[in-house]
Amino acid sequence: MTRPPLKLTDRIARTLPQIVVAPSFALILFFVYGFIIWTGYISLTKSKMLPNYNLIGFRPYERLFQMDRWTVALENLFIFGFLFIFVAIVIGCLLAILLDQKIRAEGFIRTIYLYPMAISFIITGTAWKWIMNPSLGLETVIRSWGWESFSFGWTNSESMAVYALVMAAVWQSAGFVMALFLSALRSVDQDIIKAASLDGASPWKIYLRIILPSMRPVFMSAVVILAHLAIKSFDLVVALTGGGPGYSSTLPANFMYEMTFRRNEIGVGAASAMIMLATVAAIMVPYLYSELRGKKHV
Amino acid sequence: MASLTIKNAVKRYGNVEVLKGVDIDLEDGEFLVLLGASGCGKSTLLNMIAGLETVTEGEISIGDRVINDVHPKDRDIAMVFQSYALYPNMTVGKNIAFGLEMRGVPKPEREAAVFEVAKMLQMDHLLDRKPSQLSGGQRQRVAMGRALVRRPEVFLFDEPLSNLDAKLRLEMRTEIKRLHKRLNATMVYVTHDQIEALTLADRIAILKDGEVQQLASPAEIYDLPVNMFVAGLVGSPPMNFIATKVSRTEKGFGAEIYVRAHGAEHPILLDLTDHSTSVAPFVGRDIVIGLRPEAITQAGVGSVETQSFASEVDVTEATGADTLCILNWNGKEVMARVSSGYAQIIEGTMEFAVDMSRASLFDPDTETRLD
Amino acid sequence: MSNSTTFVPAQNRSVLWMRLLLWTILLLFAIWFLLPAYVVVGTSLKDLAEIRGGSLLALPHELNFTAWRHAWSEACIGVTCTGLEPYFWNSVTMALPAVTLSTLLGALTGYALTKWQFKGANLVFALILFGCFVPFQVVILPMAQTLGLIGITNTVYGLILVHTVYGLAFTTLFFRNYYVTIPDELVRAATIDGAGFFTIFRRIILPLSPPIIVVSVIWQFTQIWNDFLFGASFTTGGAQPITVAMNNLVNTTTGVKQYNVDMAAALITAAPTLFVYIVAGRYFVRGLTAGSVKG
Repeated sequence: MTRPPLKLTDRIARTLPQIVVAPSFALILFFVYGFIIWTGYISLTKSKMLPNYNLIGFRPYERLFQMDRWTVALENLFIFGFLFIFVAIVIGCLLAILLDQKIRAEGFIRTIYLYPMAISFIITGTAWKWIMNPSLGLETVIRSWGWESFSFGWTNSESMAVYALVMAAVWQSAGFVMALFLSALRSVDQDIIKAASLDGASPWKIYLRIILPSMRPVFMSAVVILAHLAIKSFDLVVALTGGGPGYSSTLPANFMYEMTFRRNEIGVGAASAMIMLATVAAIMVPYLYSELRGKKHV
Repeated sequence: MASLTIKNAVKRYGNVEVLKGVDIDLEDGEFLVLLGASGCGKSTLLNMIAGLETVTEGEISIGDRVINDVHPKDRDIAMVFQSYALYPNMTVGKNIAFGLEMRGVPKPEREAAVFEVAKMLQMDHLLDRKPSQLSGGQRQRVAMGRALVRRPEVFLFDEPLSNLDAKLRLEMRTEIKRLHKRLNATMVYVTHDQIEALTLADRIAILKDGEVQQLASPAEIYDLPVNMFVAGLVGSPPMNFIATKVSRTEKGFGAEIYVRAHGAEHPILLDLTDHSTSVAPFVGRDIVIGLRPEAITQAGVGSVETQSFASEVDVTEATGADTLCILNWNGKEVMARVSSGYAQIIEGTMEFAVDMSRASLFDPDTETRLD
Repeated sequence: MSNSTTFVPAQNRSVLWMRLLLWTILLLFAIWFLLPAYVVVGTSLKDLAEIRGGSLLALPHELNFTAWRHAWSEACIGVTCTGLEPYFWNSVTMALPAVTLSTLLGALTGYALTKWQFKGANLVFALILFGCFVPFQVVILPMAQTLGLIGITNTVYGLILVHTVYGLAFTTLFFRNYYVTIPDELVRAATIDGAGFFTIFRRIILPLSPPIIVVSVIWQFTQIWNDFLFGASFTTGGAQPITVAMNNLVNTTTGVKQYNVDMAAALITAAPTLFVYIVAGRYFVRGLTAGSVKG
């Protein structure tokens, strides 16, 4: 009996998958995880205009939470995030159900609903800012039609600017939610629906009792993705309200940018970024865990 | 062509032992079927022979070469997969030629070999089609062609017929058998279908929980199963198991059962004298008698010395050539096989003959055969 | 019988009302979605007098492309008055290599992770996947420093690197989820046939990949073209991508506010991704949902 050993070329071939994954993985490790640690470290220093690597503990976080601008940003994120997710899902879900009623020209209507997703938030912001222009915008048009008390100059009002953000963000994302729900509706097992209607369930009942409950995973996905979009929102604010009037419509992402690049408060900026990361992680980690768990390794 | 030797093959994933030391010795040109339920380790073993899974312990050799550390491409094997695994983007011809191309066979030779194989499998008119344009049976042929064209030492089949409909499966089974005869190649064939195993194999290895239960010819597996698992797995309808007690009789040994007939339970003494040596130590103890349905048949036609008695028939199932009768012995269902012309049931009861020489006896504690 | 004859029309009538209601809602939403597009296009075709004097919703009197030409080649961004043209090409030279690189790397990584399951592959994937969801604010600062160290701050190369790295998580996710659906037996068959890692990728996996390549390319192109945060953080002046330049153009307040030029600039900026959306909308939707129907 002879027992030939593994050839060298085969031995290299065996580790090839790891070798191929290595560059991507290294990039992610360094540019994502390394940078998180780096930012975390800076958030514990008194870095001002330039990074400074002397640790001073959690003082930047204390300063952060003493700043009214940050408190406002957090409050705004809460209002904006909640309304944005809620309204986008309600509208998206409604449109999906309506479009599922064997509508003629469905493809065309869908294209209209979804196109905002293809353009930048910067464009969305610019366009809505123009529509909300107090002297030349929609407000003037509607008033000229006779509705004298109509008010749409939201971007110039401290109390309404956040709602302007919600409106524009929903405009941009509702079509996406619709697409998500629609593809889920279409993938519901038709046999179950047949069985239910043979059992005498009305179409309305079938929707409420069978189809919608089976869409729970898609619903979860939509919430998570929209929440993630809300926390990251930056460009929409820049283009639509500029965070104003004053800093009344600022969001954490804008706060971070402002501190880091405009106000030479790198330490505080890093601290705010870490808080944002913690918020995202609090939503994403349980979600990803539940998504990946139970699925067998393929 | 070459022999295949598997010596104490063990496969572990972490702490889970999927194969617990398998020994199989296959002669040149032999057709081995690995039979078992899903999860028994049969596919793992096949993949280890192919080199798609590593061998945790033990040795696998083809001819006189241990192949544990030989790359699949250098093992001189070919494999036919359950899903056929045809390359969807290549034509049939390219699919078959791919292995040769990878081995650097020049194009003219490649084309000649592909054409020869295609003719042998009667699919030379399909060479320019894509797999998606083929029927299930044709795809199966292409998968076979891809294996054949390389003229390997060992052919491996991983449930190749399980995606075909019943009629095609029968056809392809015969085809594979014919191929084996013509090529006289060593073949290892994995299936969970016991009829495929019985019809194709020179020898069958029955696996359960990563262990070989029995490695023998189809006839031996069928007539002399080593334990109740093997007995229950092979044969359709499966062997009847009758739990009873051994007793001494005037002639030798017997076992009493209660048979329902004419609306009442009647004690019947099954004669175990043919099995004297194995039942002697079991007098007064429980045993299980295994009787294949064909060992219980209509009375009065058997040429062998048999005992006969009346039994009530619950249900009959005509299969064409035979009629299956479901009887009630010891309160359990027992199946008998009767020639269609002879199923004469009068008032729900009929006279049956039992050929006890063909019975298998098992120890109910260990479930192994008494011999 | 008389019962059923009155019943059927009543039901028909209610069905008719339902259809009417349904269409009303659908059309109202369509108007809402189309309003900004209508206003932007309309405004970009008017001259300033028409904008001031007329209604926002009025159609332009004539098709006047002066504002477009102005936005493309003359408008002032900060103090330089070159129009959007150079920034448009900045975005093109940034997007094309970044899209290509991230798609290629994602394809290879996804292939290795699914078809060559090695120890730790799932952990590697989980770590890469989380990269999709990290808020970029947390990496901006070290990135700015790193780009400075390499010496590619304020260049297109810097942005190519940034977009390649942070797009990688998404492309890997796309390809991984797609390759999971390709049967492993194909790879096994090819291995026995004698093909190696790269041969299998090139000869068998890649020919099956066009749909997911299109999804990945469209997604990456849209993301990179539309990015504002990285562009604003790592570039100034002449190296800016078009989104940043456009925002500066709109917010440059020298002289009279030219709303028509602003809107034309917005259209020019949006044009490439809108074009892709109209041409390949099907794949666009698939990309959006692929990001969420994870696994």
